[in-house]
Amino acid sequence: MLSFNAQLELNMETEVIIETRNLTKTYRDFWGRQKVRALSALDLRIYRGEIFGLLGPNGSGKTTTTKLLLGLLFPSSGEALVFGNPADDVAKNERIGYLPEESYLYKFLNAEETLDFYGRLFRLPTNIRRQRVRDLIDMVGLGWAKKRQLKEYSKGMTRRIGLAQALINDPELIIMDEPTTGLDPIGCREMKDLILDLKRQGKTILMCSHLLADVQDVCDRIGILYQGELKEMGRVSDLLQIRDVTDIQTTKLPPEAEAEIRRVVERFGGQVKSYGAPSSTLEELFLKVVEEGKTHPGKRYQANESGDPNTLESAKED
Amino acid sequence: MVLETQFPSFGEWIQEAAWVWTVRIGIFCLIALVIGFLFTGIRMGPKRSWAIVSRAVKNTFSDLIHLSFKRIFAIAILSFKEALRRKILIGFAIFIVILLFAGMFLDTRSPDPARLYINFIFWVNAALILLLALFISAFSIPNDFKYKTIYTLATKPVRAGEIILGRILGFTLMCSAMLLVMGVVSYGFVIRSVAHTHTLTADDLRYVDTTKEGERALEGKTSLVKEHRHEVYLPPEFLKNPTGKTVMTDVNQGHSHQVSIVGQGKDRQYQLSGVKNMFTARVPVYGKLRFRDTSGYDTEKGINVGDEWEYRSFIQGSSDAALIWQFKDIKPESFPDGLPIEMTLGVFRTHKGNIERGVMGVLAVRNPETGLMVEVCQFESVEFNTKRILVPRKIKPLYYDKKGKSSSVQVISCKTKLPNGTVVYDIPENKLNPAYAQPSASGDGLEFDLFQQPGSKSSVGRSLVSSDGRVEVWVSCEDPMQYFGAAAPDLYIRAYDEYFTINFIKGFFCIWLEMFLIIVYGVILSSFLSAPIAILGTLFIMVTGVFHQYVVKLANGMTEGGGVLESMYRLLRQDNMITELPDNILGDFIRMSDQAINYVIGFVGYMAPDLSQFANSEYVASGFNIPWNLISIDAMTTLAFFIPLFFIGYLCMKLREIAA
Amino acid sequence: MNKNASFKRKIIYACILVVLLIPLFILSQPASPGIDGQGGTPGGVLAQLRSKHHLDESELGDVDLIATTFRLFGLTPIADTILWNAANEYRMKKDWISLSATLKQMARLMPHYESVWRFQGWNLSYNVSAEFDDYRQRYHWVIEGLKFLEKGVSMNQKSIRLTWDVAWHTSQKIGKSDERVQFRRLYKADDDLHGSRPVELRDCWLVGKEWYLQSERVVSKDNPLGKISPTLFYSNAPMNQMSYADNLEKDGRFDEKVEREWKKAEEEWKSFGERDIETTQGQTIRLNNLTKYANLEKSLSEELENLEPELRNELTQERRQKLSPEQKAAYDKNWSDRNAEEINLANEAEEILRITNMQLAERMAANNIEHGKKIASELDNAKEQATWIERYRDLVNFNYWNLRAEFEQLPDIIEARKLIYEGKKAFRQGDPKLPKENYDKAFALIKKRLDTDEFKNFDSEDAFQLDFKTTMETYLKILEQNNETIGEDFILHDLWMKSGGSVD
Repeated sequence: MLSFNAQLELNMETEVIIETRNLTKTYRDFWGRQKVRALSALDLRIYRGEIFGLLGPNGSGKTTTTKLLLGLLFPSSGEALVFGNPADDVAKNERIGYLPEESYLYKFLNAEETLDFYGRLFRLPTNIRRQRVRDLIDMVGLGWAKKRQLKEYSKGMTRRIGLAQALINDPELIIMDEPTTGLDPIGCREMKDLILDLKRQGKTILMCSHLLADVQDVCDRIGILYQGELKEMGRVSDLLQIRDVTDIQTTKLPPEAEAEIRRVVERFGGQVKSYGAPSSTLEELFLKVVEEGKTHPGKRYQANESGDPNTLESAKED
Repeated sequence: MVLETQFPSFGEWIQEAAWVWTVRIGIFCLIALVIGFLFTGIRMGPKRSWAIVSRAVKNTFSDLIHLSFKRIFAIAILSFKEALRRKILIGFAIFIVILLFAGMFLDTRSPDPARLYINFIFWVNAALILLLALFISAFSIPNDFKYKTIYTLATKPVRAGEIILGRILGFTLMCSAMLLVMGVVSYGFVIRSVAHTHTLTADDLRYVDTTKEGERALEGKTSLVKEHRHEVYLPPEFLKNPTGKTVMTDVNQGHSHQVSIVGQGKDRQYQLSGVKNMFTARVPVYGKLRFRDTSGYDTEKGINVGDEWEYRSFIQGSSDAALIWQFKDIKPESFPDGLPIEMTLGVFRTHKGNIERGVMGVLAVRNPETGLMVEVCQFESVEFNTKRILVPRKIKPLYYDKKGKSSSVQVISCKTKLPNGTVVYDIPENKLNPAYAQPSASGDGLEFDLFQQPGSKSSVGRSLVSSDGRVEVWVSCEDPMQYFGAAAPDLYIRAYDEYFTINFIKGFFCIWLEMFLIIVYGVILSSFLSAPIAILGTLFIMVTGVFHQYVVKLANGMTEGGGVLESMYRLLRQDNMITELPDNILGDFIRMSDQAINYVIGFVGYMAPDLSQFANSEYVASGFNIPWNLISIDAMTTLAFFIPLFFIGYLCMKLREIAA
Repeated sequence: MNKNASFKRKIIYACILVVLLIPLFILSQPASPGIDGQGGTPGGVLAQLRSKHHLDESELGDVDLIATTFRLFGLTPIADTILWNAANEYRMKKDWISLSATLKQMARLMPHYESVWRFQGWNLSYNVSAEFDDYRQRYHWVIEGLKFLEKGVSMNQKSIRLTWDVAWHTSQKIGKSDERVQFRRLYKADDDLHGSRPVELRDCWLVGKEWYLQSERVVSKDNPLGKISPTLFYSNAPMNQMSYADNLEKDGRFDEKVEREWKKAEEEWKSFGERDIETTQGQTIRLNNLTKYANLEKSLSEELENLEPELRNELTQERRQKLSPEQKAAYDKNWSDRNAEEINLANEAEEILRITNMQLAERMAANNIEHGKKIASELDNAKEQATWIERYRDLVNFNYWNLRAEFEQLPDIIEARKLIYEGKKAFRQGDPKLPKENYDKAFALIKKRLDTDEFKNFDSEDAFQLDFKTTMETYLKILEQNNETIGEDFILHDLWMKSGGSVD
C-alpha cells in the first residue's frame, strides 16, 4: 500500500518524524493568569517506523502533547515539529492520521459518506478514494452498517469508523489517543494486531494510553509523563528488562527434574527464584473461550466432579 | 414611480467605489498589522514579533494560494447535508406554506392590487429567506466546536479559508434552492390572485350617439368583481365588425380587459378577457430636470408650495415658468414613431377653480442646439395617475392661424443667472435663427420632424432632436393661480418594455444577494462567537443595514433632536426637540459624549451594507424595469463586503486555538 | 388481572373525555356567518354572550390571524408604532395606496382602539380626498373614509363617537363641501354603496340622520355621553332633517313633500326641545321652556314686588348709607364720565347696593315673610332656568331654526322659493323679464309673512339675514342687467338695511 522512496528507506531508522524542543503549554484564564501548567519543557524524539507509547496517569499531559503535535493547540513556549516543520503547518496533515479517544465525527452522515468526505479532503482521485473507502469499511468490519447514520452507531462501531477515517489517506504517521480504552478484549486484541500490522507496513505510530498492559504489548519505545514532565523514556525491552534475573521456559518436566535443575543453577552461582507452571494471561483464556464458543456453540460451563475447575490443559485436550 | 435616489451608471460608480474600497481595506490591513506587531512585541520582544508577524503574513498568502476548490466543494456538500438533515427545514417549509396561504386573505380592495401583492410577496420572501439563512448559517461552526468535530477536520489538510468558503457555499446552495421554490410559488400566487374577469350583458349597455350622424355606440359598465367595475365603450365600427378591432375596457385598478362579441343579433353575447396590461416592466429613459421661473431664468429648483415632502418642486401657471427635461442619446432607430412620454405631475391649486376639470397644461418640445421650440399638445392633468402623451414623429404645432403663423412655435435660448450676477445663455443669441420658426418654403404648412432627415438640408433647422441626440421636453401650466410640480423621474420616455417575468427574477436576484450577505455574516461571526451571539450579531447587522441611511444620518449628527445622550436627556425631562441643552457642564458633557458615540456608531454602521438598495420590489410592483446598473452596483457591493468579511473569518479561524 | 384493570381504566377515561367534549362544544363553538346571510349559526354560549355584550369578534372570518398572533406575543404596541410611522410617511409622500393598506392593517391590529378608526377615517375623507384634483377621485376617497368608519362601527357597536363620525362625514363631507352638487349626484348614483336602499332615500342628509339616530340609540346608562355636549349631540338629527328639506328646494322640488318635510323638521326640532338636558352645573333644562320660565319670572317678580312695594326702595336707601363718600360720588356720576378708579368704585358701590330677592323677602313683615321667601326662591329658580336655557339655546341657534321650520313650511313661502329658483334659472338662460318679476313676487310674499306677529322678529336673526343676502346677490345682478338699483321703495327695504345692504 505504501510507496516509499529510496531516500526514506535509507533513513528509516534515523529519520525523526516528531520532535519537540522545550515544549511547554500553560493554560491561562481569561485574564492571562496561569491556571494550569499542562506541559513543562518536553524534549521528545520519535523516529520513523517505531511505535511510541506515551504513558501517564490522567492529567499528566498526554492529550495535551498530542494536541500540540496536531496543531490543535499553540505552544506557550518551545517548538513542536512534525516531519521537520512546525506542527501548525497544515500541509503536514496530508501525511498523518488521528484517532482521538472519542470519535468526533458528523453524526448526520453515514459511514460511507463520512469516509468519502474525508477522502475528498485529501483530494484523492475518485477511483482510489472509492476503493479505499470500500477496503477500509471491510477492514473494520462495518460493511453491514455502512448506510446507517453515525448517530445510530454503538461506541465500538464509532471507534472503528474513527480508525477508518484515520487511515483514509494511508498516512505515514498515526497518532492515537487511548486506542484500546473502553474496548472489549476481542476488540482490544484486534486493535493491537492492527497496530502491529501498521508498523510492519513501515508506519510510525504515537499512542497515548494509561492501559499499561496494552502499551507493553505493542510499543517499541515509551515515555512516561507525570504532571507535565517527562519522567522516563526508552525502549520497552530495555526499561522492563530485569537485569539480574534469567528467564527459562521449558516443556513440562517430571517433578524429579526440579531438584537437579536447582543444583545446576546453584553451581553457576545463581538461585532458583521460582519453579512451577507459568500462567497464561487472562486475555488468552478469554479469547480461547470466545473462539471455542464460535466453533462449539452448544458447550456450556460444567463443574468437575472433583471440584476442580477446568484447567487450561484439560480444555485443550477437548 | 417615485425615485428618490437615482443611481449613477455602473462605470461612474465603480471608479469612485473601487477607490474608496481599496483605501478602506488598505487602512484596515495596516491597522491589523500594527496591532499584531504591538501585541506580539509586548509579549515576546520586537525581533521575535517581527518573525511571527512576517511568518503569519507569509502563511496567509500561502494558505490562500493553496485553496482547493475540491475541498471547498466537499465542505459545501457537507454543509448542505447538515442543513438538509436538520429537521428545522421541514418545520420551516411548513411555516412558509402557512404564511403564503395567509397572504391569500390579503385585502384586494385597493386601486392597485398588483402593486400591493408584489410588494407583499417580496417583503415576505425577503424576510423568510433572510431568517432561514441566518439560522442555518449561525449554528454550523459553533456546533463543530461544541461537538469537537472540528478536531477531526482540523487534522486533515483543510485550510481555514476552505472551511469558511465551503460552509458559505453549502448554505448558499441550500438557501438558493429554497428561494427558487419560494419564488416560483410567489410568482404563481401573484398571477393567480389577480386573475379575474367580469361579465357584460346587454342590460349593462345602452346606446349613445356619436359625432357621426346615425352611428351609435354602446356604453356601459361591467359587473362588480373584486370590488371594482370597468367602463366599456364600444364604438360603432366595432359593433359592425367585432373581429376587426381590439377594444379594451377602461383602465381601473391598473388593468383593463379586452372586449369581444360572440354571436349575432339576439344571441349576441359580450365576453371579457382576463386581466391585461397589469404586469409590465417598462424601461424608462430619464432626463435631467431644471425649472424655469416666471422671469425666464433657469434654476435648479422650483417653488416650494409648503409640502412637507420636498421631492417635487413647483412652477406657476399662466406664466413663463416651465418644467424642462433634457434627454440625451435619443436616436431615430429607437423611436421611429415618436417619443412615447409618460408623466405623473403633482398639481397644487390655490383655488378650487373648475372642479369638474383637471388643471390644463401644455407640452412642448425644444431643440437645445437650435433653440426651436414647438408646442405639441394641450393636456388635462391627472394627479397621481400617469398621463401618456405621444410626441409624434411629425409634429403639428398646437395653435396656428391660416397664414401658418403660429404662437406655438418659437426659437428661444435659455438663460441662467450665475451667483456672481452674470447671465449665461445655453445658445448664444446671435446663433438663434428665427427662420426655423417660419412655415417652410414648400408651403405645406407648419410641420416639424422630430429627427433630422438624413441628407435633407432643410430639415436640419426644423428638427427637434439635436444632432447629438439631445431633446428637451417642456411642460407648463395654463391655469392661473395653479401650480404644476415634478421631480426628475416624473417624466420619462417609455423606451420599450421588458418582460415582467425577467424583472421579477431580477428582483429576486436582489433578494438573493441580500441572502448571500447574511449567510456570509452568519458564518463569519459564528467563527469566533457562540451561536446565539452570532445570531444576535447578524440580526444587528441586518437591522443596521435596513436602517442604514438613518444610522449614517445619526453618525453625522444630522438627525433632528440630537444624538443618543441628548435624546435620552430630553426624553427623561419630557422636553420637546427644540428645547436647548443646558449651558453648563452637563450640557457640554452630553455634547462631547454624543460626538464620540456618533463616531462609534458611524464605524459600526459602516460595517453593515446599505440593505435598502437591495430592496427593489417597488420597481417590479410599479411596473418598471430594474435597471442593470443598479443590479451591477448591488452585486459589486456584495462582493466588496464579501472579500474583507471572508478575510476576517479566515483570520479568526486560523488564529483560534481549536482545542482550547 | 393488572393488565385488565389498567385497560378498564383507560376505557373509563376515554369515555369521560368524550362526555366532557359535549359541554365544551356547547360553550365554545364559534359563531359562523353562513353564506349570504343564510345558514349562519349563533354559536355556543360563550359566543352568544360575547356578541350580546359586544365584547369581541366571535365570528369566523372576523378573527384576524396575524393580529391575534401579534397580540399573543405582546407585540401590538411595537407593530402599531411602526405602522403609525409608516402611515405618516406614506401620507407625506402621497402614496395613497400604501397608506390605505397600512391603515387597514392598523385597524385589523387594534380594532377596539377608537382613535385609530376616527383619525384615519377623518384623514381619508378630509385630507386624502383634498389632495386629488379630480372630483370623482375626491368622492371615491370620501367614500373610502366612510366605509372605513362603518367598518369601525361594526367592530365597536357601542361607540358613540364612531357612529357619530359616520353621520357627520356623510352629512358634512357630501352635503356641505364645495363640490356638494357633484358629490350628491355621485352619492345618489352609487349603487355599490347603498345596496338595496331605494333611490329617493339616497340623500346624504337622510342617511346621515339615520346614523345620528343610531348614535343616539347607543347612548345608555352604561354607555354615557361623557364629555360630548348633549345639546349639540341631540341637535344633529333634526338639523339634518332641516338640511334635507332645504336641499330638496335647492334641487328644485317645491311640492307637498317639501311642506311635509319642513313640518317634520319642525316636529323633530320641537321634540329635541323637549329633551332633558343636563347643564354643566347640574341643572336639568329643556330648550322649549324659555318662554315658560321667562313669563314665570316676570309674574313672580311682580308678585314679589307687590307684596311690599316700598320695601325695595327702603332697603336701597339703607344700603346707600353704607357706601363710602367716594363710592357714592363715583356711583352717582354718569357712567361715561367715570375714570378707571371711579369705575372700580362704582362697581363696588353696585355690589353693595344689590339686593337679591331672597334678601328682600327676608326683610318683609312677618305675615309676608313665608310667602315672600317661597316666591323669591321660585323666582330665583325661574331666573336661573331662563338664563341657562337661553345660553344653551344659543349653542344651536334654537330660536332661529324653530322659526325657520315654521316659516318654510308655509305654502306661500314655498311658492316664494319656487319663484326665486325659477327666476334664477331664467336669469341664467338670459330671460330679460321673468327673473325680476319672479323675485319681486317672491319678496312680496315674504314681506307679508314677516309682517305677521309670529315672524316679526325673524328678520333679526343673523342666519336669516345671511340667507337673504345670498339671495340678493343674484337680484342685484338682475337689476344691473336692467340698469336698475335698489331704491328706498324696495319692498324688503328694512330687512335689506338690517342685513347690511345699502340703497341709493
